[in-house]
Amino acid sequence: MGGEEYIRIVDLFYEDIMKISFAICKDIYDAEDIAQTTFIKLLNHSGDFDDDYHVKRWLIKVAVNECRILWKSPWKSKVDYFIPEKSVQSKGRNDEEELVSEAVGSLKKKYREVVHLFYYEEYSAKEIAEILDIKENAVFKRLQRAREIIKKYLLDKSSREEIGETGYECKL
Amino acid sequence: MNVNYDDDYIRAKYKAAIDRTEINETGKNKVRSLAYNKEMLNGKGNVIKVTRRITKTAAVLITVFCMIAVGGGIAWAMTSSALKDYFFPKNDRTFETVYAEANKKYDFDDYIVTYSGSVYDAAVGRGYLQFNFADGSGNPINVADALEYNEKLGFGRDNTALTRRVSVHGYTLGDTNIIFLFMNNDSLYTIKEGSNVLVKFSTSRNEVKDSKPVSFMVLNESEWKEIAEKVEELDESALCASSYDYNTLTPILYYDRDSMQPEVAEILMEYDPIEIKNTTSPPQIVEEKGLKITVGRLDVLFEYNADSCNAHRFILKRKDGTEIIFKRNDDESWSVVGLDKDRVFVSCKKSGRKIEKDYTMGVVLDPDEKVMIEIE
Repeated sequence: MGGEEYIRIVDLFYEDIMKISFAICKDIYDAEDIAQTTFIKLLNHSGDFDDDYHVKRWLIKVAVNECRILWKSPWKSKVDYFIPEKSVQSKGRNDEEELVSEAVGSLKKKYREVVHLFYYEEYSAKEIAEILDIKENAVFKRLQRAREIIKKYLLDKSSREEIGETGYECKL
Repeated sequence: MNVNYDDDYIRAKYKAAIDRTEINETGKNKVRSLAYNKEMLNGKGNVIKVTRRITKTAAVLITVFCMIAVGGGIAWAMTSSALKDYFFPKNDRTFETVYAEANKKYDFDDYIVTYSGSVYDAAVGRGYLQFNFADGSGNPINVADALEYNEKLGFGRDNTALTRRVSVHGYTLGDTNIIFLFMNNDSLYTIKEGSNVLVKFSTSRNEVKDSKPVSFMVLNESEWKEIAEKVEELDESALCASSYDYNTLTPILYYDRDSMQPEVAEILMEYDPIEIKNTTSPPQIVEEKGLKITVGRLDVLFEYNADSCNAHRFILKRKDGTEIIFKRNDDESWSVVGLDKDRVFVSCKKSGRKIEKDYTMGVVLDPDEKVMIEIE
C-alpha cells in the first residue's frame, strides 16, 4: 500500500480501531499497541481492497484477532493489571452513559466484541459472524445474553440509586 | 425512574460513552509516520512504546532468570535417582505386569473382579489402565483405589481427563459376569458408595442393581463440534461427554439427562439420542441358549444369556439373511462389550483371570436393522 493511501486510511479509521480495541481489551495502552500492530499489518498487506468499507472490516477483523492473541499470551493470562477506573480520559461526563459503559465493560470479552460491533459499528449479525469467524446463531445468542446482563446491571444500579444507597441508613 | 433499557437506549448511551473516549493524537501520529519509516517497523513495531516495552522486557528477563534458576534447581535434584524415579516413573509396564502387581496388592482372591481393562480417552489421546473391584454382591466398585493404583504405577491421576471421560465397558471373567458401566466424573468418585452406578447389566446369576436410565448417542465430528459450541454458549463447563469407540474412535456422547441442565438436555435431544430403558428387573432370557440383541433407534433391548460365554461361535444374522460369524478357541470366551445404534462390539479373550488375549470387533449395522445374534 502506498504511503499517501496509508495515511488516508489511518486518518479515516485509526479512531475506530482504537475504540474497538479499547472496548475489548479495556486497557488504553494495549489498545494503542493493537492499533499499531493492525496498521503495520495493513502497511505490509499485499492484497487489494474493494473500497473503504472493505478496508474497515479488514482492519476490525485484524484488530479483534490481535486482541484475542494478546489475551491468550502467557503474560496477559498470568498477570493481572490493576487498571484505575478512570484510566481513560473522557470528554465531559454523563452518568447514564458511564453506567452503560460500565455494564458493557463488565461483560466477558466474547460478549464485548459482539456488543461493540453491533451497537457501535452497527454491523448486522451476518457481518459480525464473518468478522468474528463464528456462526450467525452464535452472534444472536451472545447478543441476547449480553443484553440480559447489561439490563440486569442497569436495573440493579438504578434500583440502588432509588433507595439512596450511599452508605448505612441511620435510624433514630 | 422508569427507563426502557432497549436496544436504542443501549446503543445511544454506549455510542456516546465510546465517542467521549479521548484518543491520544501522539499514537495516531506515530502510526501515520510509519508510512515514511518502514524501516522502523522491523517486524514488530517496537519503536513506539519504548518505555513500556523496556519495562515489559525487564519483567520478562527477570521471569526467565527465575525460571532458569528453578529449572537448575530441579535439574540438580534430578541427579538423585530416587527423585528421578519419583518424577519420571518408568511406564513400560504391560497389562499383564500391572495386573500381577495389582493382584499382589489387592489379593484378587478376596474379590470377584467384575471388570478390569484399559480405558482409552480419545479426548486427550491417552490411555489409562483401570481396575474396579467388586465383592460377591457386585458392589462396591472401588474406583478410588483404582485411581490411586494407576497413579502409583505412573499412569497418572489426571482429573482433567476424567472430567471428560465416560467409559463404557463390559467384561467377562470366568463364565458369569458381563457388566456395563457408564461413568461420568461425578459418579467416578461416588461410585464407591455404590450409590451412583448408572447402568449395570448383569447375568441372571446376579440381580440388576442400581440401574438408572442413561442416554447415549453416536455423533460425527461436525455434530460433536456443533454440540460443544452450543453448550459453550450456555456456559456449561462440565458436559459429561467423551469420544470413545473401541475401533474407530467415533465420538460417542454419553450423558445422564437427570443431572444435566435443562437447557443442555434440550440441545442434546435435538440429536435424537438413544435411551437405554431403565432395567429394574433381571434381564429376560429369551432363548435357552443364546443371546438376542435388538437394535433400534429409540429402544435398545439387551438380553443376555450366561451360556453365551461358553459358545464357540457368535453368529450375527442380518435382516437380508447374510451372516457374520465370530469364532473362538476353547480357552477363550466371548462377551458383547458394547452396542450403539448401528454397531455391535464383541470381545474375545482367553478365559481365566490372567488376560492374554483381548480384542474387540465392531460390526456396522443399518440404523433400523433388527439383528439377531445366535450362539452355537
